[in-house]
Amino acid sequence: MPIRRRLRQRTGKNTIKRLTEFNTGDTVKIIYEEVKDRDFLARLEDLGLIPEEEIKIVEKIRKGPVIIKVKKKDIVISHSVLEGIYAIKIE
Amino acid sequence: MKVFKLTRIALVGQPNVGKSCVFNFLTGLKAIASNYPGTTVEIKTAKAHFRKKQVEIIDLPGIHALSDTTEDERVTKDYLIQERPDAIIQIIDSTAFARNLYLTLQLLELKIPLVLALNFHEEAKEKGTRLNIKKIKEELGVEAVYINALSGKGIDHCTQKAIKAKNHQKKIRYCKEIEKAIRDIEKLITTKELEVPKRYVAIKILEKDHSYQKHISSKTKLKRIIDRFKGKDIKEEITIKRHGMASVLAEKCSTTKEEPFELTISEKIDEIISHRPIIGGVLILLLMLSFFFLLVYVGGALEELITALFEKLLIPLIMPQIGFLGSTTTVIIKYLLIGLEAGLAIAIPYIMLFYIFLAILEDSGLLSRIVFLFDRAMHTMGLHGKALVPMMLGFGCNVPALIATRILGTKRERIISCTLITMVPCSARTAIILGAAGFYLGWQYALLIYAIILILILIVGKVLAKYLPGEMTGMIMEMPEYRRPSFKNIFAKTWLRMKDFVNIAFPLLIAGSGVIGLLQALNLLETITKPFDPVLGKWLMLPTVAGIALIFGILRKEMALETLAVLAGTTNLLAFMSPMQIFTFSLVSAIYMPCLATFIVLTKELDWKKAILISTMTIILAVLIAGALLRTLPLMGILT
Repeated sequence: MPIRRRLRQRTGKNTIKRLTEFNTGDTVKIIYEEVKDRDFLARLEDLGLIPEEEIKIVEKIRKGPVIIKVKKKDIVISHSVLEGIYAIKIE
Repeated sequence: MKVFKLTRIALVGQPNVGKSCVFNFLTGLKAIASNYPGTTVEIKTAKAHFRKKQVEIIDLPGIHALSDTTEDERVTKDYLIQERPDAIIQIIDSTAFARNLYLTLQLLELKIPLVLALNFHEEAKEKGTRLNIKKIKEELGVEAVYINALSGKGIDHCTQKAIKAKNHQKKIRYCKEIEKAIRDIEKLITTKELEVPKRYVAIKILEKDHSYQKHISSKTKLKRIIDRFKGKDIKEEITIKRHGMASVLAEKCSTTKEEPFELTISEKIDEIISHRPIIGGVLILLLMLSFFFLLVYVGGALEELITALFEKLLIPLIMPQIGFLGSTTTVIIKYLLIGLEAGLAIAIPYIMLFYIFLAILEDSGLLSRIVFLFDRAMHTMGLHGKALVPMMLGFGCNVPALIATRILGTKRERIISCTLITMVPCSARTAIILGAAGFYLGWQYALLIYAIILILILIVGKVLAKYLPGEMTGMIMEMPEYRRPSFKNIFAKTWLRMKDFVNIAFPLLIAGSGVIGLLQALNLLETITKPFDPVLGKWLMLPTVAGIALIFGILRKEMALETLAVLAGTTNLLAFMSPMQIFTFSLVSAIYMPCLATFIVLTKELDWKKAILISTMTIILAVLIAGALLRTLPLMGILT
């Protein structure tokens, strides 16, 4: 089953999207991180990108990197990395 | 006799919090500090006298956590564990206190005396956050001091606290389940003399750090403890708990005033540069072009001034006075003077100006925006935007740029970026391009050489990305705030970078000029240059003495042009070469073979085989491209 559908079933939230699919200015809550490289995942988590953390999409370049605000700091992350992070928008 | 114990104080902190500034303040400007993450990739140590006490200050690479996920983290963690300094000063970015406390909690587990240096507290105050030093001591059991890393305010006080700091008793408590597992693992540790506390080892084992498993007496019992977590990712659990604790502690130790929403200056600038990528990209390119013209015109004017000083004043004044020394000595002295003139006139105006510009880019925070804006473009070369930082540094000097590739995640990325960096026109090559092609032929020819090199870098990058095995990793990089660059730091950094040129290149250049003078006096120059004739004379159509200049260029790149001027006996190259020859010489000098220092560092960062392979490739490319262009450009009506 595709991961997105599995997450929607598990959390009961239909609005789960990849981080790259949100718009600039959106504040979102991280639900799940699917990063194959364990070291890379550890780095993301050390920076504060952990489940339940609220982050803001500050800026994105189409198919390019995204600036997110996490724990009061702006971080630039590659598009490919953010593809594996799922979140829901906070209204 | 009284023996004074040397107190070792390690500076630790997240990237870009001001560690190198503190290091410079305490030791007297020995490290380069910048406003972008990852400036320090090596351990720097220096001894300093502090209130009649000798202290050793250790500047460690910036880390987010005490882990093994990046080279920086490995270097810092290994140092702290194996060397166990007498005290740690953790430089804290007060604007993101919770995030910095995440590292503090891990440092506390090492049980090394710790002092927190609260940097950027004025900025935090402006944003409505005030940190409470008393509360920090109460909650964490360690001293905290407000500092300003740029002005140096509070650093003395902080160092004094670090010298006197005693080990803290603070224990970081995780949830019951994890605490029980830690206690049970502690019981399994049999090694008596550990470098670190038992509790730290137990936590690391839970975090799946396999290097500590050798201290465990029973692997079966350990498996049973781990199995209690029923497949849960314990490392992730510990990370989440630590972040949670850091957030709670940050709230307890600070007061936040809700300010009316207003954009900071940094955010306002970003509204234009980072938030409108096309406008931002165009603005950055315009900035680069303006700098290029500044280099051409201001550098050119400085070059003319120094040349005139030597040729119209110094040389005519000195030469008639030394005629009594005999013809050989007179020729050698004349060449020594020309060497000095070439060094001052060709290299200093361009190299110095370039370093000033690079320092402004670094300290303002623009470098990180360039990385963000050009990340996609870098993907075509199998690299991500972060690789742009060492490449930009490469425009200054290839040596630190190669070392800076350590910030990249994989060997593949390092091979690609190291190869490309050796082709990046460093300030010395810029001195050749601008000092020869720009000065004698016009700025458009200098720009043409830059364009050729950039296209070449793009093609080589694309080829390497296609054929080197492995995949590209993603990029994670912090975006620093915009800051007004300080004149003091800009000039200090420029001097630090120029010092290498003054200390190494100048003596080499003057001695080399003397040797050339001697060879000239003994009529030996032609014999030496003969073997280069088929390539230099026939294929590249250069005067054969250019071979000597190119050999000297391997020692230091700028020496190629300076030696050529010495060999020509004048800095007016048009009297010695045709415009096409000047263009060819500039192009070949800019591409062929990295300088000796770069080659040595390349062998260190990659290996001998790759260093030789890369160097050979650059020689072949330089000869082929320059030869092909000198035959095709006239057909297009250029440099006929």
